[in-house]
Amino acid sequence: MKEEYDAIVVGAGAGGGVAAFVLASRGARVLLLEQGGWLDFATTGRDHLCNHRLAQYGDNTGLDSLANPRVIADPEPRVVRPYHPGYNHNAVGVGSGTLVYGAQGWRFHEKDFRMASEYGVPEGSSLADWPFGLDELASWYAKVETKVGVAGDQPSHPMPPTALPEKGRRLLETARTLGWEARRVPLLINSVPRDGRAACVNCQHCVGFACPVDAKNGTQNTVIPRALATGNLTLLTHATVLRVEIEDGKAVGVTYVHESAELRVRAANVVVSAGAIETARLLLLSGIENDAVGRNLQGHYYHGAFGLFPDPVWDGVGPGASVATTRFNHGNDGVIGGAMLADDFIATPISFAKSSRPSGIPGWGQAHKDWMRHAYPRFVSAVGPVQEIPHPECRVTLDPWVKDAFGRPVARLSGTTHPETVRTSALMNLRGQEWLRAAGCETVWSGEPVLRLSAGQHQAGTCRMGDDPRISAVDPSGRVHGVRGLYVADASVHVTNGGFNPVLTIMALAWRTADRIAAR
Amino acid sequence: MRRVKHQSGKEHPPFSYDERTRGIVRRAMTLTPDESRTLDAALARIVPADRDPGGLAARAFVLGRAAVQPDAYRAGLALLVSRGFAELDPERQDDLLREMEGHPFLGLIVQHTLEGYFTSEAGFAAVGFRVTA
Repeated sequence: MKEEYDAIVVGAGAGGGVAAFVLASRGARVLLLEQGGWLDFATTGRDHLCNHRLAQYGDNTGLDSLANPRVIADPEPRVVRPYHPGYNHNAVGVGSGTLVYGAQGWRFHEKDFRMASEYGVPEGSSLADWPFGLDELASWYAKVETKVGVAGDQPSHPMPPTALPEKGRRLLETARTLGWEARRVPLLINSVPRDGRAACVNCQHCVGFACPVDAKNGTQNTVIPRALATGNLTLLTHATVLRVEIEDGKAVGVTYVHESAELRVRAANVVVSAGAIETARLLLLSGIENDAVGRNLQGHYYHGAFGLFPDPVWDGVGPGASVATTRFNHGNDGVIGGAMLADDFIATPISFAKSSRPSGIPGWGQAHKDWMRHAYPRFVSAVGPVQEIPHPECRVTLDPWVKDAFGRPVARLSGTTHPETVRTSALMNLRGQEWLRAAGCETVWSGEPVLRLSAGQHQAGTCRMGDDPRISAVDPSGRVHGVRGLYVADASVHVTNGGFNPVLTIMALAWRTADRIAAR
Repeated sequence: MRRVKHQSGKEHPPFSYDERTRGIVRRAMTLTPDESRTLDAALARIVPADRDPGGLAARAFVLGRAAVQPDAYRAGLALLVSRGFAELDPERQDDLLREMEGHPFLGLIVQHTLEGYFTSEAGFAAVGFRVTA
């Protein structure tokens, strides 16, 4: 049977959007299949209780809640719906998480690529080095910074940083006084009009929501439209891929459902970019038997500190994540790795009420209202994504009982990260507290780190990259071991997930993998 | 608050909840007069009115959530009605609610009241949250 496409890309998120763009611009005929639809600000809204920061009653993108359950075993298995805690959901739609993310565009640290060599491997952990280092990825990072568009204070950033809020100004000044490396948080957001779209209007609803003026750069408004403009890309929305078809050790296409019809399409290459949970599930459903598939699930614990300045600092200047220190990503005595610490996106009042109250403050009544009124305008945080120490038993498997609407086994999530993650998190709490106290905060507190499964929107690791097919799922180019023409281009391939938001790395790696495919 | 014109061309009010949550608000549990007075009294203690409005601003939202779990609300309000909650003075009302710490109904009504209140204009004003764009 004739191949209809040079490549099929499964999932139009950070990795899939970039992979489809690179392949289409290099002349390949590409089919991009996305299970969600086109979304924008008008269709996703500003519901403070239904968004990707607080999905109390559902979220603002997403899957049919009943048709797509998962099972989480923590340790007792239970069925969870897409917006329940434990589901670890990503936005579903063209752009996926990049439509609603906070858009922090960090490069990983050079030591993030060689964690095992730097620190040794703690007992029970699957900590390992990447098959290459930062120098290998640098040119692709630079391409993403330019082509998707990062605003920041580094020479490689094509736009200046977004406006600096007062809390950030104080943190920056304090970090400099302490002698800590500090910089503006790089954001995949237009700080100036660019690419035919507006500059950030510094609103108060960034992370969790789509941008009201389309200044936030996701794949849905950058690389995907450009790929469509080449004429080489066919994008099919509301198309759910059931399995990758593999014949004689070669991927030959996929079977998918679109408008209730089950269809098969053939291609020379298949690139799976469905996110670390669904990518692993799809490979398992497609009969990939490599034991590494689904293992080493990781995300980010978020730790550091919260504090209250003596005076109000709330100026409403969004997005809110403005100043970071990378002083504690490595070189912390007695723990493995660390985290970039930064102030956070502006919290909606209800988000703040639910997640920022320290112990000892009543949960209702006049004292609670007084606290909310006092704390909200004085609040600052210094928190960050703690580099997780992977555990091979933290994994995605196919649930033996629960099926989705198409009759396929759903993803079962089980296990926890390695306990070393908890120790690193506890130290990040202390470092965050030190920063906030030095900045003048009178009240400072932290959340207690608890050993748990962590995946969320930073989910990674389930198809780790490596040379040895016994302990890795894909080779250093992103190709699934033992299967010709089958690639993974999302955070599944991350060997470790850095102490940074992972999206720039996902995009850079997807670009690199697509270049490799196109060069074949 | 100013309205912002967005890329879709639609004028868009700086709302805190949209059609999905309004779907919650459009439903409402029907209460007896006793239940209604008791609910209002409880809302007024969970978020007392002071220089800013209090929990009554969340009433429609709470009734919408109550419509989803009417049995829990009916039983919880019956407990408060049986203690004459609505007629007590505010200090005694607070004592009674504190007695209920750990009772699932208190958790439920506090959660829903705070959700309704801090997504309302009253809640925004109380903490100083302003929508500029």
